[in-house]
Parts: sequence; structure tokens; C-alpha cells
Amino acid sequence: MVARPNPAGPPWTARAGAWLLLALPLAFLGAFLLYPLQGIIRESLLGETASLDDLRPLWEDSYYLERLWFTTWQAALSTLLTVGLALPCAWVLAHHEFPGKALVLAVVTIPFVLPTVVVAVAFSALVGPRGLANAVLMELPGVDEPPIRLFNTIWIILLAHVFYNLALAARIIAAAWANLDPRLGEVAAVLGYGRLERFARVTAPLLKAPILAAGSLVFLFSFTSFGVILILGGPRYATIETEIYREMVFIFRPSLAAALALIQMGVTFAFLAFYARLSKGRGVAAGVAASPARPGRAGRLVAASIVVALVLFTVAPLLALVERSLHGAAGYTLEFYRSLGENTRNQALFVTPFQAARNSVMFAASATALAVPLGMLTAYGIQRVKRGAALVEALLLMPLGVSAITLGLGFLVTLDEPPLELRASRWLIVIAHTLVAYPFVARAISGQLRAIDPRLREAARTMGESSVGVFFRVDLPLLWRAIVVGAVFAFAISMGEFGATLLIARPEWPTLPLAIFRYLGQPGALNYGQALAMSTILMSVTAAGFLVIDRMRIRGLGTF
Amino acid sequence: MRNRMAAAMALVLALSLALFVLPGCGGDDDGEATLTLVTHDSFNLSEDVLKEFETQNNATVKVLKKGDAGALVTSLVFTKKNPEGDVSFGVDNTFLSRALDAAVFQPYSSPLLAKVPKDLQADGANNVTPIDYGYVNLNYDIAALKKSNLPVPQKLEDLTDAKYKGLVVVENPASSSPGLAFLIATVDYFGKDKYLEWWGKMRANGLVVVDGWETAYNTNFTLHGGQQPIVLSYATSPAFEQMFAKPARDDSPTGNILPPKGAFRQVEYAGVLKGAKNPALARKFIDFLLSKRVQEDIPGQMAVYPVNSEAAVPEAFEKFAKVTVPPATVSASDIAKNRDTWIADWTKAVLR
Amino acid sequence: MGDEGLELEGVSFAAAGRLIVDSVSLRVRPGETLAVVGPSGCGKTTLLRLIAGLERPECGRILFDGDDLAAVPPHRRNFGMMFQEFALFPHLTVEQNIAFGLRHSRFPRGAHRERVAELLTMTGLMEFGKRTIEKLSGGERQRVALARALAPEPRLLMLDEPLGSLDRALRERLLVELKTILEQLRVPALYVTHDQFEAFAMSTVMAVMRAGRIVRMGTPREVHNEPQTEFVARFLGMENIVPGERRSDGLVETACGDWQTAPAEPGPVQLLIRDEQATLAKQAGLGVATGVLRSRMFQGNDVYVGMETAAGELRFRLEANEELPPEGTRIFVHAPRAQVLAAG
Repeated sequence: MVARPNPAGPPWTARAGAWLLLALPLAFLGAFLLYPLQGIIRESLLGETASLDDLRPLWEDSYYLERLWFTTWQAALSTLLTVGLALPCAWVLAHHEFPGKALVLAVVTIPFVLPTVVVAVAFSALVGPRGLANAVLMELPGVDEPPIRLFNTIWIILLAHVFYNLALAARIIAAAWANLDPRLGEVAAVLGYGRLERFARVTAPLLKAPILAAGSLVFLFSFTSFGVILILGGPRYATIETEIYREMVFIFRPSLAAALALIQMGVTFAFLAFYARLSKGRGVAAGVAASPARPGRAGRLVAASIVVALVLFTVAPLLALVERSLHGAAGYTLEFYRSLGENTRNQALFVTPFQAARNSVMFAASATALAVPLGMLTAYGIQRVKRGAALVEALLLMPLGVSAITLGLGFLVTLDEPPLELRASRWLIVIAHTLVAYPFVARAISGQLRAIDPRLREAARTMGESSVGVFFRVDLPLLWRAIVVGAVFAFAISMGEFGATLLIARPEWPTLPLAIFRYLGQPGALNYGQALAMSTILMSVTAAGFLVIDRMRIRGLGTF
Repeated sequence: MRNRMAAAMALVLALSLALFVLPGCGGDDDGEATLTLVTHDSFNLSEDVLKEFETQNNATVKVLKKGDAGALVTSLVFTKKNPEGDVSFGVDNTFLSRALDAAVFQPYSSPLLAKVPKDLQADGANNVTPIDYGYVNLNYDIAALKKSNLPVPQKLEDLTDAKYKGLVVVENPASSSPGLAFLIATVDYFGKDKYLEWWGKMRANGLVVVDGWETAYNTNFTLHGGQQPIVLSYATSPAFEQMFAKPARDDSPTGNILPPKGAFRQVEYAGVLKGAKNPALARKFIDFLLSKRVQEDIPGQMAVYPVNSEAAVPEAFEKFAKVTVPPATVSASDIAKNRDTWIADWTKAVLR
Repeated sequence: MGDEGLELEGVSFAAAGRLIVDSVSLRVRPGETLAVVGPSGCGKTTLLRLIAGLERPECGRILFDGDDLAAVPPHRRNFGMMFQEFALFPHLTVEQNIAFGLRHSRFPRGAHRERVAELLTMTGLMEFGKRTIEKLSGGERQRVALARALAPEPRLLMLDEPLGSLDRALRERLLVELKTILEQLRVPALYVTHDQFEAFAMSTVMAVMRAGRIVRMGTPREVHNEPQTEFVARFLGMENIVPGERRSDGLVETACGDWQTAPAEPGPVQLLIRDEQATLAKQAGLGVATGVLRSRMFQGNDVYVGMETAAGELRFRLEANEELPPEGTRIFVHAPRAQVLAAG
């Protein structure tokens, strides 16, 4: 009962040591992140195409400093908004049961996988100048101009970032919140604290780790945001990431692009290191979920309205997409779906939706299968690092903060010779997806890991469990929720593709997003309709995948 | 409890293993030669046409797509020392200089070049072979203009008229190939000193600029529920609108705006890559791309015109995609020299 | 004056269709400590939560100093509550935990430090102020929880199993300290426990709960002397309950002996034979149980003997210096106190 040692893993990890645990993740990172990045950056800065003159704008033109500033503040604002809105959602998800909860969770996570072009279509159908919302408002007397003008403003960028990341943040926070001892809030209530104050002084500090974890992920996503900025924000907005793409691919000043990529990485790394320091300390109290407080009628009402708002916010654009995919020139039709399966144009490299879905699911399942153990090793390893923990943690999260186009080119330049001759292998796609997916698993798990009461492990040992048994019967069940959340997003990242795979995609293994891009790239009502039909299939397959992953739970653990 | 866990884990592992025992996952086929084509996302041919090449040469064609034309060129330049494939298709005249400067191709002159008009061939280089061309120009939504009682603009100057305020959407030349092509066309039409003046007026007249063709066409264009009835696209787009209309129709819902010199001709080239593992087959593939069979397949698959003067084009192209006016004429070397300046100046004039 | 303190009038609470607190009425005045006892699941913790405002009663009224609390949210009630297993804030130090409630108390900001110091002294935690909760032992945590509940000078104190998880020696020591503190404070207090000895020791009034209802209320002495029902008697650890037949003059005949009780309706009754004040007798008679000695347990001042009788197993406390025959011998025990219990 006195001060106890603070082993952060089951006993076998204590023996193994941090670095042994981290060996695999670090090797993976070294081979598939650092090695390709150094390759492309060296090639860009020192190779044939390098030109020091190209670097001149960096210090001669304040433009890039402005871009960096814009990138940072829009990411910070997106993060604040997302986390702020995610908190009430997380509260509902953690403390309320309602019919169809699993479905709601699956549906609100769908945006995560949608290509930006498709989201743009959905937003435009809803809040675009001639979208539904404006059409309704313009019916009002005296309203002649569309009152909602979001496109090409900062608002649509923020809205899109929230739309993409809300479920991510809500689920990470909810996983921890469900494990929070509800009596702590009650203590505060009895001691004179009102609802909001209770949240600010008790719940929020106790949820600090998961809130920071969610926030850091949202920040990284918004910081390296590409499609949202280009497509929704319009040409007046540019982030470092879009500038890197432009310089690398369009203007072709590789030296400048590489320098920008280095700056971007530097900022992300600094941010991650700072974040890792912030989030040190004990996680959520209580190892096992205490019985949730019975929500009162008012609480249920509030919860219900939050669910409705959340569903409306995410589902409305998705429904707009589905509606459009069913909408032919002459009313509703299944034509676009039917024609997806027929190679009417006799195209080589034609792909049926079934093949595309199968490929997507296979890649996503493989990436998830790799990301979960890798993420767990990372989470356990980080816990045990004594010195320089913040730096190690920042390094391990780096895949989320690097420029996708740079990494993709890096793959092409470096992974072309034995022993890493992977350029032509489909493994590389799985590896690329895993690279971005495993930090999610690690993030989702590490907060929970810290919260496990070491006495539970000790108790299991005294009851005759081997160290491996402790891992399976104590750690794993307690971490399960977090693992499921991590796995869902690992799956989602892979389903939604990721910029770096653009350059390493294999047309013989077309995925759903690639099929969507193919249809969107050509004019004609049929192509457009087919793209939307394919998007609907992507949404359905993804949601089904989420539901399956969510089902993989251990009996005896509460539902989440 | 453990069983459920194990089952879940097993399911995930099984799924991922399934990926690698899927039927038809290729691998190296029995002794057949493999030709690897590095191209952009828009590449497509009919299935039986591509098959023909494979049977004739007892070879397999592997296709690698690298995103848009810009991403394709960048990949080619960076993988120059150890190219991913044997032959590349899809570098166009706006990006050509970059590929030629980096010397990613090896020389080859196809005997079929004789059937290709001289003006389509790249100046002074036999490193690349023209395969197809298309026009970048403004399209309009016929019904939308009619509904607003607006005439179809005849010259670029017309578009600065207040009646077209806010009705034109173009792509950003700093991120999109058609955007750049159109910018070059305006430089040619108005002259190097005057083009920005026109763009400035367009800006004042509510010009909408978006990042790329997909957004302009699928989101902003009135045909797809947007707000601009005039969009920067391709001369073949109206033909495609008719060919792929649902339900089928005899006319096109869109038309071309073709002021003199208001269209830019984009030529796409193919070339044998330096360091190709199978250069002989690569050369054969270029001959194949120039053959009548492929050239007549290209319009329907890629919405471009064949370079082989013997090749017939689809009926819809004759009806809805005829370009009768002279296009802008700017040489590839001129483009290479001034591209960055034009983009930078344009960005300042129109966006900032 | 008559309104002072806490009053519950017919308070009921149900969850998931089950009545957890069933028309409870009670009153606790300043200076009084009401111990609520009962087996686990009888609704005693819920009763505290209702009073704290953490749950809303289905019906009935909760009043403090005569004011109905129905519209008062928990954080405006100024009640102190010590939770089961303490529920200390893991993200705060000992001092911060204790100071937590001062923010909304009558103590001005400047006086917080002093108040915390006062409580640290009172609970003997002077050196522990800067420690984190993780580093504390069970007894230390109990003191922090108590100090936290007391710091804002609540007008009512509720303690939910405050000594529940502690070891016996510690419990007895803390019991005395706690009692002293409660007596000094003179606020109405509720003390929930499943342990009857704690309840006897701490309370001025005690209430025994069963399935949401208060089945016996009175001073500890009253309840102990007159458990009234078989449930209460058994809950208080009184196991010598035998079936008997009551005559109209109050004599109850059982299979192991006869006892005189107050005259009442004749008929079958349950008789509680108290185990205290028992002595060995030479022969059977009024107030004497007859049976075979089966076990003995030396307990210091007395010997706890078990005997097998025709009415079942009975246990008595005898003076330690009584001469006991070997086990298996027939003995007679004079147990002067017996009472008839009501059903329930």
C-alpha cells in the first residue's frame, strides 16, 4: 500500500527493456521513413537538378514565412474547433447507450476515408452557392443572393478539417472518458462545483492525455493538409504542404521543395517533442470502468441532441453524395451503379467495383494487421524510455507530419535496389499505409496504458498467471477499447489512401479511391455519376469494415 | 474471453494473408518479356487493343500510373538513374523541356512519324514521339447561357463584359496543366505586355480560380450544379458529354468557345526511357501507339485527337469537338524559358 | 428551531424499474450522527447520493433547515461527502485535494492556505501536503478524503464506508479520531456502513435498511436492545433465534427451554435468546437452554460456546472463569434475556 514502483508494462516487458520493444518500430521507421526521406532530400538539394538559386525565394520573399504562419494558425484553429466539438460527442459516446450506437460510430467515422474531391462535391451540394441550404434560404423574402458563402474562404477549410477529424478526436477521448471514475466528478459537485467548472477542473485535467493525443493528431493532419486547402480553400490559400507539391511537381524547383519539406518536418518534430513533454504524467484514473452514472432525463435529452447534431453534421454531406449518385438526368436511377460492373468502353485496366473493394479491403486489413502490433510495441516502448523520451516519441509519430509527395518520391528514389527493392512490390503500398497508420494505434493505446493500475498485473501474477498470461488477460482486455479505436483509424487511413501512395500505386491492384479518381478525371454525366456511385461503395465498405472491427471485442468489457 | 480475442486476431491475419494468395496476382510470368509503361492517370486503351500488342510480341504490358502529368515528369526525372519502366507516355509540351533537360529519354525515330504532321513534332528532338493532341479552351453550358439570355462569347475580350460577371471558372496555372496551357494561350493572344491587363479585368469581373480541372468541372461548372456556366476544359469535352450522356442524347449539353488563338494545343509524347531493360520492345510499343489501330482507339478512351493523319475520329468529335480556329502558337522552348515568370506574375495579378 | 438539520419525507428512488430507496423518512439534527446500516445493495449509498443531489428522488421531499432541496443542484447544497474508496483526485497533490472545495466555500482566497494547514494538522497529515495521491497508504488516503470533505465547513457531512477498506487496527484507531472530530463539528452527519460495530460506535441514531426501506430506527442502545425483527437481529449478529409457542401469559415454550416474555396474543412466535449475560446452570428451568456442548472459543474476557439443542444450534457468551465440562457433555445455560421478534 506504500509507494509502489512504476513499471509501465507487464513484467516481461520490464525484462525486455524499452529499446528491445522499440527496435522493430524504429527499424521500420528507419527503413521506410528516414531512409527514403534522406534519399529524396539529398537528391533534391545536392543532385543534378539542385540549384541554390531556387532557394533564394526562401529568404528573399516573405511569402514562405506567411505560408508557414498561415499553415500553423489554420491548423491550430482547426484543432481547437475539432477538439472543442469532439468533447461533447465524446461525453455522449462514453456515457450513454442508445440503439444503433455502433452504426452511428461507424457512419461518423466515414468522412475520414473520403477523397477531398468527393467531399467538395458533397459540400457544394449542401452549402455551395446553389446547394440545398442556400436554395432554402433564398426562398425567404428579400434574400436574392446566396447567403451562405463558404467556398474559397477560411471557414470551409476549418469546416472540412472538423468534418474529417471530428470522429477521430471524439473516439480517442471517449475511449478514455468511459474509463474515468464518475465519482471524481461527483466529489467536485458535492464540493460546490457547477457542471462547467467540474469539467474544467476535474474531467479535463484527468483527460489531458487523451485530449492532447487527439489534438496532436488533428493538428498534424491539418498542418499537412493538402486536398482541403487546394480544392475547398481555393488558390488564395496555400499551406507548406501544397507549396511543396507545387514546387516539386508543377514548378519543379526540387531544391526549394526539399527545403520546404525540411522546414515542415522541423516544425512538426518540434511540435511533437513539445507535445510529448506536455502529455507526460499519469493518464486517466481508474483501471476498470466504474459503473457509469445513470443519466437523468435532462442528461439524456442533451445527449440525444448532441447525437442528432453529430449525425446531421456528418451524415448530411454523405447523404448528399448518395443522393447525387442516384440522381440521373431523368429522375432517380440505379444506372450508375449498374454500369460500374460493365466495361462498356472496353477499357484495358478496367476494374469492377467488386475488385476495387476487395483490393481496398485487403490492403486495409493488411495495413491494420501490421499497424496494431507495431503500434502496441511503440506504445509499450515509449512508456519505458527513460531519457529523451520526448524525442523518441516525436520521432515515432513523424510519419504523420511529413510531406506525402516528398515521401512518395523518396520511395521511388531509394527503394529501388536490394535489399529494399520494393518499388514494384505491392508490399510497399501496405508499408506506406502502415507507416501512417501505426502512430494512431500507438497514440490511442499509450494514454490507456499509462492508466492501468500496476497492482492489477501484480494481482494476476500472484494468481498464477505467467507474464504472457498477464499481457493477454490483464493488459489486452483493458487496452481493448483503445486498440479498437486505433485499428479503426488504421483501417480508415488505408481505405482512404494516402498521398504518398499516389506515386507507388499499382494499377493492377486498383483500390476504390483510385477508381473514383479515374471516373472523376473525365467529362460526361456517366463518368461523374459513376464516381459518386463508387464513392458510395467506398463509404459502405468502410462502414462495414468499422462495424466488423468494432465487433471484435472481448466479453466482459463494456460496449463502447 | 481469450478465444474471442484469438478469433479476432486470426480474422485480421487471415484477411491480410489472403492478399498474397489472391488469384491472378501476376508475379513474373513464364519467360514472357515484360514491358513496363510509366504514364499518368488519364492513360487508357481498349482492352483488346492492348492485348493485341501483347500477343504479337509475346509480352506482358505492365502499366504504372504516376498521378498527373507533372507528377509523371517529376518521377521520371528522379528515377532517371534506375527507371521504373521501359517506355513512358504522357509528357506534354508544357512539361517537355523539364524531361528533355534531365535527359530521361533515349533517341528513337519511329518510321510511322511520316504520317504525323510536322508541326506536331517536338522541335529538334527525336527523343520523344508525339502520340496525341488536344485543345485546352473554354466550354459553356448551353442551357445555362440560354436561360440567362446570354450570347456565346466570341472573343476573349467579350468575357470582361459585366454581363459575364462571375460566370467564368478557370484552373490555377500554378497547379494545373490546363490552367497553365490557357495562361500561355492568353500570353500569345494578347502579347507579353498586355495579357495581365486582360487577367486583371477578368479578376475585376468576378473570375473564379480553382486548383484543378476536377474541381472546376465537377464542382463549379453549372452542368454539375455549380455556379459558372463557362469553364476552362478541353475541346473534346462537349463530345464526351454527348458520348457519355445518361440517358443517351443526340446533341451535347455543352459547347466550345473558340475565339481565335484562344485555345492552346497540348501535345502528348511518348519516349523510350534511358536505362530501359527492354528498349527494343519499348520502341515497338511506340510504333504500336502510332499505329492506326491505337490512334483510332485513343479519342474514345482519352478524349484527345490522334496525331496519325490516317486515323479516323469518332462521329461525335466531328460534330462537337471540331477546332477550326488557329490555336495559340508558343514554342516549347519559349514556354520553358518563361513559364515560371508568367505563373509568378499571373499569381500576383489575379490571386494576391 | 424544530426545522434544524436534515429531514427526509417519504423519499423513493427507482432505477431500471427496481425500487432502490423506498419511502424513506428520517431526520438528523445538528450534533447528531445517523448511522445507516444494512447489507450491501440495500440502498444506503443511493440514499446518500439522493441527499447529496447526485440522484433525483422519484417522490418525497428532502429538506435542510426546513428548505426543500428539490431545486438545489448538488454544488449549491454545501454538503460534505466522503466517497467509498475515497475517490481522491489523482491529478492533484494532497494539499490541492483538500483545497479543492475551498473555492466555493465561505473561506476567502487568502485564507485557503491557512485552512488547508489547519486540516492537515487535524488529520495528522502535516508532512504529506506536497505528496501525490499515488504515494499514500490507505489510512493516509482516508484522512485526505476526510480533510477534503471537511475543509469547506459543510453544513452536513456524509461518510460512505469511510473505513471500509482499511485493516482492523487502523480502523479502530481511526474510528476514535473520527468520532472526536464529528463531536467537535456539531454538524448533522450521516455515516453509511455495513458494519454494525462501527454504527454502534459512531452514531447517536441508527437506521437499519433492508431493500430500500428503513426497518428499524433508534439510538444504538435501543436498536441493540430491541431489534424487534428477525432481520435486524440477524443483521446485528444475533443468531439464537428459535421457533416457539407463546401462551397468553407471555411464557414462550421452545424445544430447548421456556422463557417468560410480556403477555400477548398466544400463538407461534420467533424467540430471540440473547447470548449475553449467560451463565452455566445446574439444571433445566425457566430461562435455561438445554443442549450438548459442541464448541468453545476463548475470547479473553469471555468464552463463546456453541451447544446443540433440540431447537438447533445456539451460542452464548459465558464468563471466562466458568468451569466447562468436556465437549459432548450435556449442559444447561441460563440466558436471562429473551424477546419475541416480529416477522421480517
